[in-house]
Amino acid sequence: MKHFNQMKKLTLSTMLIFAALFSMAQAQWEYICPMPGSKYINPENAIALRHGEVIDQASVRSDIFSLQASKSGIIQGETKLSLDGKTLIFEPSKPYQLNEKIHVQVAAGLKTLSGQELPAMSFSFQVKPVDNLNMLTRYYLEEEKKMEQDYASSNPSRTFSGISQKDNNLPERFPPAHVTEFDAPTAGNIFCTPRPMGSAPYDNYSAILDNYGTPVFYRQWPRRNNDFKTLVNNQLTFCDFDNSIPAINKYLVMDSHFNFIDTLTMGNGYHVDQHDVLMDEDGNHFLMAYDPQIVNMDTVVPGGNTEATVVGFIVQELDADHNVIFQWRSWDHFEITDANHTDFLADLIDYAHGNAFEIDFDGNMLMSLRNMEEITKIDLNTGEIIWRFGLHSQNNMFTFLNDTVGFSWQHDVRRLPNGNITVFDNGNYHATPFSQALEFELDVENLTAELVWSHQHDPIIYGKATGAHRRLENNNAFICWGLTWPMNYSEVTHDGDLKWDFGWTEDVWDYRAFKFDWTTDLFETSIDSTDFGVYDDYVAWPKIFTITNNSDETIEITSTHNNLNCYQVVTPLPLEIEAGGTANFQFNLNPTTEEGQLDDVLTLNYDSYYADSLYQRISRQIFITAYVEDQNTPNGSINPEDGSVDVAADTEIIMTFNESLVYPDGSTIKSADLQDILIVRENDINGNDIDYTAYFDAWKRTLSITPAEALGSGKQYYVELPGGTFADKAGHVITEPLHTTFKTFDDVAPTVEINPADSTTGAYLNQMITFTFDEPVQTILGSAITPDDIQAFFNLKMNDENGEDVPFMGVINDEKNLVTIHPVENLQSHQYYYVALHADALMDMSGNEITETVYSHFETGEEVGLSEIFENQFTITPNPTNGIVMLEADRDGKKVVEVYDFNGKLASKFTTTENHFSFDIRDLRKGLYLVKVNFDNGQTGTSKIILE
Amino acid sequence: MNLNYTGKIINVLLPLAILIFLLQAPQSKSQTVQPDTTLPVGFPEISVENFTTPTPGNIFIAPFGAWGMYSNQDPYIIITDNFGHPIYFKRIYHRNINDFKLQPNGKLTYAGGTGNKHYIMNEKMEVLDSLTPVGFWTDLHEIIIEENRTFILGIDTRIVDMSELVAGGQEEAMVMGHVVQEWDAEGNVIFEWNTWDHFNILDCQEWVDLTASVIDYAHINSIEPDSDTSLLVLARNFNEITKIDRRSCEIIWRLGGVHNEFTFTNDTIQWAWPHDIRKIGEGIFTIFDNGRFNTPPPNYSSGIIYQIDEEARSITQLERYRRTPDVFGNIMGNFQLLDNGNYVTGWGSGSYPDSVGITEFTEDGQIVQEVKFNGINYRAHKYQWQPQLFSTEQDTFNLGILSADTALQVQIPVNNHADHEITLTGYHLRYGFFNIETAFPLTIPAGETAYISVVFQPDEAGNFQDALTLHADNEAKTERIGRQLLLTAEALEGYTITENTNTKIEIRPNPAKDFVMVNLPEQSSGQFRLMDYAGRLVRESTFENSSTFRFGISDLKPGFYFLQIQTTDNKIFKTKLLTF
Repeated sequence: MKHFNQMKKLTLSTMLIFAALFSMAQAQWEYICPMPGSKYINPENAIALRHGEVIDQASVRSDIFSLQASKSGIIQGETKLSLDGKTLIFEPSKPYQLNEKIHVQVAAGLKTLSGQELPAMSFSFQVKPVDNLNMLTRYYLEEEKKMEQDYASSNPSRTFSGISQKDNNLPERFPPAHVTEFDAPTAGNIFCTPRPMGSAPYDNYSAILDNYGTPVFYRQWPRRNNDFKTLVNNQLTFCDFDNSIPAINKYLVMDSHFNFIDTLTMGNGYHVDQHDVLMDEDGNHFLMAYDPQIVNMDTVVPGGNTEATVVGFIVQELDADHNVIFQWRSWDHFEITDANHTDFLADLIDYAHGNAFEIDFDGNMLMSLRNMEEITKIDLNTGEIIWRFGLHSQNNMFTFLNDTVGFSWQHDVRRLPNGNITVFDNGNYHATPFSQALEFELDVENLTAELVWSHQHDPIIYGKATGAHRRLENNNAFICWGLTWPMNYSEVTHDGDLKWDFGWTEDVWDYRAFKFDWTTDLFETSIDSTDFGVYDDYVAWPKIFTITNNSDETIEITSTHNNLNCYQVVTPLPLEIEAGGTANFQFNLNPTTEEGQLDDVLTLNYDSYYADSLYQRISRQIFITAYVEDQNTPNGSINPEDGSVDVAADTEIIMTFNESLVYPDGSTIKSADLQDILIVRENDINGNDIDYTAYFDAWKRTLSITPAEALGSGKQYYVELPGGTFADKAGHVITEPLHTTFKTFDDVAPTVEINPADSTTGAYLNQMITFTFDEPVQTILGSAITPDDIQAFFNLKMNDENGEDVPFMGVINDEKNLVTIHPVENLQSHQYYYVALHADALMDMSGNEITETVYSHFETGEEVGLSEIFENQFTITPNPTNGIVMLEADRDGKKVVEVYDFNGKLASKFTTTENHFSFDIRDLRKGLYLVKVNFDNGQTGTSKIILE
Repeated sequence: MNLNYTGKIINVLLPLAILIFLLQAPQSKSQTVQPDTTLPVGFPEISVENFTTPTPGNIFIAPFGAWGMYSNQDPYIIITDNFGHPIYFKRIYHRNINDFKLQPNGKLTYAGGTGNKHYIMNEKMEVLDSLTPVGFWTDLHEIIIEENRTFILGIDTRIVDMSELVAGGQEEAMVMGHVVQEWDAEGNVIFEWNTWDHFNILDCQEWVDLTASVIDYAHINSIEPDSDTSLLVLARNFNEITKIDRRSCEIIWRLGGVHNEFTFTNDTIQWAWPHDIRKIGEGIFTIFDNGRFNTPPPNYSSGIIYQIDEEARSITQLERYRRTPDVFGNIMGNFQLLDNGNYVTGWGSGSYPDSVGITEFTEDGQIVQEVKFNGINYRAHKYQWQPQLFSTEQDTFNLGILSADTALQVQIPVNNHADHEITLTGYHLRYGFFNIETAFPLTIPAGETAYISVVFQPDEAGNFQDALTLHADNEAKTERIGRQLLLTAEALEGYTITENTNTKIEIRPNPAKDFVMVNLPEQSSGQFRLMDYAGRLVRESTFENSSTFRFGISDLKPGFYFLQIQTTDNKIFKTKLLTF
C-alpha cells in the first residue's frame, strides 16, 4: 500500500505541473470537457465549456470551435448553448476515429451576458484506442455471474411460502411474498423490483406494494429492471437493462398514470448503468456509466496484465434537452490502485464501481465507490475532489471518532436533512461479513466522522451485493438488504424498534426498494378512508363512493381485494369507466362473526396488459374501519390438525385465529418474540426442542411456523401455543393452549446396520450376526416376520454369495427392529462369510420396501469371543444338557425364559423371579436350542444350548 | 343378508306414513327425561313448555344473539323435535337473519353465512347452491323457491342528498331501496320491481330517521305470490302491504301506511312494524304484527288473520292471536298456518329476555306448545320433515307384545343414502324404556346398511313408546344430521314366553326354498306370523287343532325370517327361518 501511495503522490504532482503548462486562458473556464490532456475519450464525445456565467448567445458564432484531428483532419460540427445558457457545446458532425488525438481551438470573441470577453484558448485530448462495447458486455455478464454465485452460496436451508397475497388474482409468475413483522409501519407504499434468480419460476416486475404486501401497481417487464422510484414532479422511473446488450440500457420516465414520457440515456457515447439516477425540478438529471478500457497494468503495478480491462466510472449531468452539461470520469481523478480487495494482476479490474450518487446541500456531489470503500465528494462545477471518506479507503481524509468497523462494499450514500450521511454497508470484508445501515455525522472542518446510528437485523442479514438505506419523513430507516433472502426489506425506528419486515419467496431478491407516500392518479376515489362507526344493526351498512377515471382511455375495475369478510363489494365487476368518466362503487359492512375494531384496506384493481401481453395492475385503496362490540374470546385452529398422520415433511404449521391478536396487556405481538413463546418439539410435549422460525402475518391472525430443517420422515411432532399468551384487543385472553400432535408421512425405507459390518476381520467364532433396522419392519406382504421368514429372507454362506449355506437360527425382537442370526455351530476360523438380507423381502410399517440386498462380507479370526449380548447377565449350565437346565442370572425381577428350536419355533416357555432357576426341557427332542431370557427391564439375552 | 334377530316377541307394525311422532308422557315414574349431553359448547338451551297437544312435526329455528339480546349466543340453524331435541343443527357464522325454512319445491334454505347469500340444501342437508339477486346486494329477509319460480329480494342503495328533502338531512345519505326479482326456472330475471320507481322516501313511517347517514326507508321483509299475475310485498317501514302486478310492475293497491286505500273493520289497533305477509286462502291473509308503535299502548306482538275485499277496498280482522301475558318482539317474527288449522307464532326478538320464542295456538286460541331458547329468532316454522342423509326403513318400529318380565332385542337397519361414508356418533332417547346395545360411533359405508340393536326389557306392563334420534355429528361438533324414529312396544301381564328349544317346535326344511313344515309339540290352535329381518309382516295365518301345518315361501326373497306362533292358550313360540 505504501508503494501505491507514493506513486499516487507522484502522479498527482505530475498532473499539477502538466496543468500549469496549459494556457492561462483555460483558467477562464471552470469546466472543460474533455479534460485537457485526457485520454480514453469516446469518439462521440462533444466539446463543452463552462465559464460559470451565462454566455451571450449573440457571441456564439459558428466558427468559435475548430477541431483538428490527427487522423480525421478538420472536424465540422454544430455549436450550441445548453438550456441554462451557461454551457457552450460543440457537437461534432461525425465521430472521431479511434486512437486519434484531437486538438481543440477556441477562438476569441465569446462574451458572457455581463459583457466579459473570453480569450481564445486551445487544448487537446486522446480518443480511446479501441471500441469497448464488448468489454462492457463481458464486464456486466461477469458481474451477473458473480451475483448468482454469491446468491447460491448464501442460501439458507428453508424459506417461507407466501401467504400474504393469496386470493388476490395475481399472475401465476408474480413472486409470492410475506410480511413477517408488522408493528405500525409508516404509511406509504413500497417501490420494488423483485428479481428472480436463475431459473426461479417468476417474471420481472416493477411493483408498488402496500404495507401488507398487497400490490397496488405492477407491470411485468421483459428485461431486467432496477431502481424503480419516484422522481420529481410526480414522475416515476426505473432502469430497463440487459447485461448482455448494455447498449439498450436506459432509464425510463413515467408520468403518474404510468405512461412512458421520456427515456434517459448517457451522452458522449456512454451506455447508462442501472445503479442510480437523480433528477431536479428543471429536468436536469444525473446518470452514470461504466467505462472499460485496455490498460497496461504493468506500468501501474509490476507484473500487471499488459492488456488488462480496467473499468472506469463516468458521471454525467444532462439538462432537460439531454445535453451533457457536466461529465466526470474516474480516469481524470482516481488511481486504479485506489481500489481495495482487488487483484491488480487480473485481466479484469473494477477499481471504482460507483453505485450511488447524491447531490449535497451545496450543489456538489457525493458518490459511493464500492471498490474503493469510499464516499467521495466532488465539485460539480470543476470535478475536483473535495473530500474522501471511508475507514477502509486508502484515501480517507477523516478521523473516525467511534467506529472501528466502517463500511465495506457499501451502497446508496444519502445526505439527510440534518446533514448526516447514510450508507448501506454490505459488509463483505468485515471480519465476519454482515450488513448494516449506518448514519455518520461528518465534521468537514476538522475532518472527523462520528457514527451516530447503526442497525443490524436480528438475526443478522448479510446481503452480499446491492441494497439501500433510506430515511422516511419520520426518520425511520427503510432498508433493502440486497442480494439475500428470505428477508428483503425492513423498516426500523431510530430507536432500533423493528416496525416491518418483508421477504420475497425463495430465489427472489431486490437491488433496491423504497417507501414513498405516492399514489397514482390514473383513477381516483372520492374517499380515501371511511369509518362506519359502531355497528349494531341487522342489515348491512352500505358505502357508496365515486371513482373518477382521469385517463384518456376506458378503464375497468376488474377485481377487489381486502382482508376481512365483513366488507363485501356490492357493485358487480368488472366495472367499466369511460375516459374522464365517473362511476359509483358500493361496498357494505356486513359483520357476521367479526367483532372488535374492524380495520381493513379495500384495494380496487384495474388489471390489464401493457403492450398487449405484459401483466399490469393499477390500483387505488380505501382504508376502512368500523367497530362491533367485542364479546368473544378469539378462536384458533391449527394445521396440521391434532392427530394428523401422513403430513408432508415440508408442511408449514399454521395457526389461524378469527380475530387480530395482541398480548394480554394490549401491546403488539412481535414476530421476533415467537421464538420464546411457541413450543415445537419432537415426538410429544416432553420431546426435544427443534429449531424453527415463526411469524405473524400483518393482521396478526395467521401465525406461521417453519421448522429450520424439513421434518423427518414418519416422525411425530408436537406444537403448542401456551394458554394465556395472546388476547384480542378487547382483552379476551385465549386461556387454553392451542396444540397439535401430528405425524409426518413416512416415505423412507428402513436402513439396516449389520454386525459384523462389511469387511470386518477377526470376527469371533461364536459370533451372533445382527441386523439392526432404524424402524420396525414387516414382510412385504404386511405380515409379522416369523422365524420361517428369517430362514427365507436371510442368507448365511461360506466365502461369498455363491458359497455353501451355513445353518442358523434367526429371531426377531418384540420391537421388530432387530433380527439376530445365530449360526448353529461356531464359525470356522480364518474363514470368509457372507450374510445377507434379500432385496424386496421386508418393509417398514408404512410400506416402504427395502429394495436392495443388504449384506456383509466378513472374515473370522480365531478367538471365541464374549460376543453374546448380555451374556454376563445370565448363564445356563450344564451345556450340553440332559434336559434339566440351571439358569443363573444376576438381575433381580421377573424373567421370561423362552426356548426356541432350530427352526425358531417356540418350544418351551418358563417364567420366574428367581435368580437361580431350573427348568426342564427333557420332553424336547435332542438337538440345538436357543434360550432367550427376557428381563423385566426390556433387555433380552440369548444363549445356545445343546440337548443330548 | 347377515343379521341377528333374537326377539322374544314380534308384534306388528303400524304402517305409518308420517314421519313425525307424538309421544305420550311417560307411564312410569321411574322413567325420566334424558338430557342430550353431546351438544356442542355454546349450543342454545332449548326447552318446551305448555305442552298439551301440539301438532306433530319438527320445529325449524335459527336462534342467534345480537344487539344486547343473548349477545354471546352462537348462531345455529336447528331442527328440533316437538320436545326441543335437536335432530339437525349447523353452526352458522352469521350473527344475523338466518331465515331457515322449507321451500315450496321441497328444498331447505337458510340465509346468511359469510357470503351473505341464500343457501339451498337438499334432504341430505348438502348445500347445493347459493343464490343472490342479480346485480344487487342480497336482502336476507325473504326468498321463495317454487318449482318453476323464485322470488328474491335485493337492496339497491343510492346516494341521496337528504338535506334537500328534510331538515337536517345528510347531503350524502346512503338510502336503501328494495328490489323484488322473480326468476324463471333457469334463473333469468323475468320481473323486477324497485321501490325507487314506486315509493317516495318521504312516505315512510315516522320511526325512520331521515337525518341518518344510512336510511332503510322501505324495508321490505316479505314477499307472497298472490296469483299468477300479482304479488304481495310487505314494506315494514311503510307499514304497508302492497299488491303489485307481476306483468306491468304497477301497484294494484296499497294497504296500510300513508297511502292506505282500505277501510278497516273489526280492527282498532291495526298493525305497527309488521312482518310475514302470507296468503292462506282466497281473500284471506295473515301477518305478524310486532306492535312496536301501538296506538294506544301498550306494545305487544300478535299474529293476525284478515279477510280482504279488494273490490270494496275493505279489510276485516278475523282473528288476532295474542298471548297472555303478552309477548313483545320489537324486531323480526312470523306467523305460520299449519295444515290442521293451528298457528305457529315466532315471536322474533320477543324471546328476550327469558320469554317464549314460539307459541303454537289452536284455531280457537288455546296454547298447545311453547318453545323457549337462548337467542332471538327471525322466523319459526313447524314442518313434518326431517333430514334423510340416512334413514330406517320405517319411521315407527313396533317391537311387539311381550311379557313384562322378559327382554326383546331387535336390529333396526339404517341405510346410508350418501355417496360417502357416514358415522353415527350417538343417539338420544327421552326415556329409559329402550336400551341401545350398539356401540357408537358406528360407521356406515356409502350406500350400505348398518344395524342398531334395541333391547326392550319392561319391568311392568303397559304401552311404551319413545323417539330414538340417531346422531351423525361432525368432529368439530358444528353440525348434526340426525334422524328420528318411533319405538313402541307393549308389555302384558300373564303371557308365558316359551323358549324355542328343539323339543318344542320344529320347522323343516331349514333352510327352505318353497315351503316350510312346522311341527308343534302338541295339538293346539292359534296364529302364526312370519316377519322379515326388519320386522315387516310377510305371512300371517291361523291354525286350528293341529300339531303340524305348512305354508309356502317360494315368493319370498332369500334371507332370514322370524316365525312367531301364538297359541290360544297364550303360549308363544318363535324360531328363525332361512330361505334361499
